[in-house]
Amino acid sequence: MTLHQVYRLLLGCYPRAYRRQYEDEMIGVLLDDAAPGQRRPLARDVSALLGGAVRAHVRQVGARFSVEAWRDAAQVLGLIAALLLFVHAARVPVLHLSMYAQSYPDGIGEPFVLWPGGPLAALWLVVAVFAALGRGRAAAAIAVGGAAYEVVRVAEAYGQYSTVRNLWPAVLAAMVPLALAVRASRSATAVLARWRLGTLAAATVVSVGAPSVAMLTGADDSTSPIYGTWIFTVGVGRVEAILLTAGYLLFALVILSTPTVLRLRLLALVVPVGVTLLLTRVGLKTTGTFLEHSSHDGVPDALTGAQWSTLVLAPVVLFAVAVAILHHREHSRPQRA
Amino acid sequence: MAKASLHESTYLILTALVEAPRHGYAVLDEVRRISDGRVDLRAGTLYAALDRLRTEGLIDVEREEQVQSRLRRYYRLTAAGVQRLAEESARLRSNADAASVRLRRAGLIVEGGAA
Repeated sequence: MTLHQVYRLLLGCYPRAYRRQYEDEMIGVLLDDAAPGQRRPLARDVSALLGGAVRAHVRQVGARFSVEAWRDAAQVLGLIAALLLFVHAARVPVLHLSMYAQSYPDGIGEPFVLWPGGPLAALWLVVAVFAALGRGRAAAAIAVGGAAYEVVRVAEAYGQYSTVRNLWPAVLAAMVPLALAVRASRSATAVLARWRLGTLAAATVVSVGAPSVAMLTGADDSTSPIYGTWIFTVGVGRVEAILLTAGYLLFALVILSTPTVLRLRLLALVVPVGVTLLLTRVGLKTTGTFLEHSSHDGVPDALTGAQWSTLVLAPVVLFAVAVAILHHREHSRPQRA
Repeated sequence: MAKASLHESTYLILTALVEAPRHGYAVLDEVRRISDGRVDLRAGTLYAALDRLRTEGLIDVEREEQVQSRLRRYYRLTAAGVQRLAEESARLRSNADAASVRLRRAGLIVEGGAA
């Protein structure tokens, strides 16, 4: 292999757009700078070329993510995620308060049920309100506390029961401050039309109120519980499951009804959460699954290194794939907003 | 807001383009000459810097030509590049003067070297 060919091979590490711009020129400089009779590249040149390739990729990714469509998507994701986390945290406290209001003196029978769900729900609601008002940085700062709590909670659950079933809220919560910290020219409220905001509010109310409605109307008394992995929760009655599904479908409707440029980005951004949910709820069942989670006497064993690697890498890799497909699609067939 | 200081290699690349537009290899050569061989840029580092400087509008492509079937692109300083280089030079001179005055006053150096 000639020196020219080796350099051409090394330059293959650069992004295509960068190569189109500089490849021939750089090869000329590298060959001009080579000593007479040199057959192999110097280690310093190899190191500089590989380092330059990494920097070029990072800059390219940074440039792609800095476009307004990604900034809008980050704001909208921050708002929707904060509302979903509010729903997740508020369901039980709201049920408890509803039962108090309906003259059940013990609520659902657990005296500390309002802690920490109540304050956590309030925190996510404040984050959502700030995000809706366009105060992204303030919302992000508050969201850091909620995200830290979700991470600690999943770590505690793993320490006690070796389970990561509830990892998805921690992943979603960790994304909220990151998304809301992105500087954007307009708020999520400005990006979403008024009817979508109304739909989001309805989705939140329906999802939060589902257990209360089912319990207080007695609608689920005669139905057998559903133990599913498809509803973000377990052991719910049929009516509650239907209400929760309706709430989540309304959230999905908001995302799917946005313009293509925004919708594809929102879908790409939720990939890490979706993959985590699938892996932890379906992939890590105790029997006969792709990522079998073995147990002794019903207590799951600790996850193996391979399982941890899959849990960490799969969401990141599939997010990167989703973004690459999105950019390739838009590059080859420009979309209209 | 104060601008971040230029990295030494970036400063020297801009300096290499002051007198005339130069192609990539000529910039490498000129940087080595200006720094007495202390800064030995490699092509990968040079083009990372040139790409960034073009994006920032501090340099521009003046012309392209083919020499022995190799593409040569000549870069020149823009007005923004001249201003940035002048500002950075003033900043460096001010810092260097301050350090020299204090070293001399403390008796740690005499004219031309350490005491």
